[in-house]
Amino acid sequence: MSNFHPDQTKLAEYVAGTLSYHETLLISVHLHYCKECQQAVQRLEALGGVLLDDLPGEPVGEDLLQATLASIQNDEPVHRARREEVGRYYRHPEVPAPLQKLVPRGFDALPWRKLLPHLQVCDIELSPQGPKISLHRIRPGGRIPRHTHRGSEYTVVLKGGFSDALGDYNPGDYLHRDADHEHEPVAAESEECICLTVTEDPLKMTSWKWRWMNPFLS
Amino acid sequence: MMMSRHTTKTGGTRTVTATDEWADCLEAIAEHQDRKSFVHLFNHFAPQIKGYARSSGLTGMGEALADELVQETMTNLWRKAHLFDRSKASATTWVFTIARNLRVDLLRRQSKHHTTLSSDDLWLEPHTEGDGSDWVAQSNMERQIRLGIAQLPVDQRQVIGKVFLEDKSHQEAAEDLNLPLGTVKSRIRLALKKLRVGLEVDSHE
Ligand SMILES: [Zn+2]
Ligand SMILES: [Zn+2]
Repeated sequence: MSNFHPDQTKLAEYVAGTLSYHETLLISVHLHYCKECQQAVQRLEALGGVLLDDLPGEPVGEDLLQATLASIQNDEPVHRARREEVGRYYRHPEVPAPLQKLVPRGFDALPWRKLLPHLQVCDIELSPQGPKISLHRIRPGGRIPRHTHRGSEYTVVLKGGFSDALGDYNPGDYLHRDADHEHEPVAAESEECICLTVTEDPLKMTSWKWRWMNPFLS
Repeated sequence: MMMSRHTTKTGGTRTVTATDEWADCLEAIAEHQDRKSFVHLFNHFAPQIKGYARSSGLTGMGEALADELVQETMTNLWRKAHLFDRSKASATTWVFTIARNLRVDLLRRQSKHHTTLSSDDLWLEPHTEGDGSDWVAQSNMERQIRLGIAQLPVDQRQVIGKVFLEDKSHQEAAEDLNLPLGTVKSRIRLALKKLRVGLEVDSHE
């Protein structure tokens, strides 16, 4: 059960399909854990359906119907069995469904890179432009030095939990931190913490001890 | 099949009384690949999907894309009819989600921006088995939404339409309407609250 949800205007954008790729992914992962938001999405989709239904239709040519009929000619509807096959694709229960393709062999098999003594990082979707989609992994009880963010940082907790001055976060919790927000997250003692993170710009360390790290945090 | 029409259109609001004739069509396709039902669905939904393609900016890249969205959505309805479950969504809602996903994929293909995940990975069907949501509850909710929309103040109705059916982020919608982003967001929140479709807990985001 999540306690920290995306803003509902974000959920509406998710349902409309107007969010960016990375934000859509974050919401999709949050939904994997959050029943309340799943239900809100169901209602928002019903709203989308009603709005679609109210649209003035555009005339469609008879040739388009013929072309469509031709394309389904030899196309049998998918059977229920196929759906179960899809389910078998998900082999790592700890990895939420939307991330399965990006983390196909589980968290441990990823090429983690050490960033700080308690912190590892792995970029899971590389694209030359746009924000970075990565996983962060903090050792049990690990403390991340105080830092701000040069841009927005979005986080969804996937495993374990962490705390900062504003709260305790558990699997599914969705957080958005602005550039001017300074925090010092600490992982829960009981197990490692893995988070999905989208950063628009690299973190910026503000604690004097770590300031020299800044050029490397990219 | 389809012995009577259960839907009536009155002045823009529609009252669903007992069944969903489009859901019947989808089930007929799933059960015996009924082509007559498919044509029936096509005649109803194809013009709406084309209208959606236009309002959501697809036609900005040429008329052909709008027809492509219509054909792909209809082909998907045929192919995926088995996955339709009327206890989870009405046919109209289901068609909306399929058209939305295909629209996103079409736009992404056009942009040549490579991403690993496709819309089917990002809008997974929620696994809400046995949570008490059923067909009656679904159609009641839809009726509430229809009534609610008719009663929304014009400015909120306008914002909701923009957000759902146009290819606009809230920021772009704000620029379009010449309003501050905060005003747009609060209108959306108000409208979602009136329609009772939003999140029922605080976001704490
Ligand atoms: Zn939630
Ligand atoms: Zn941070």
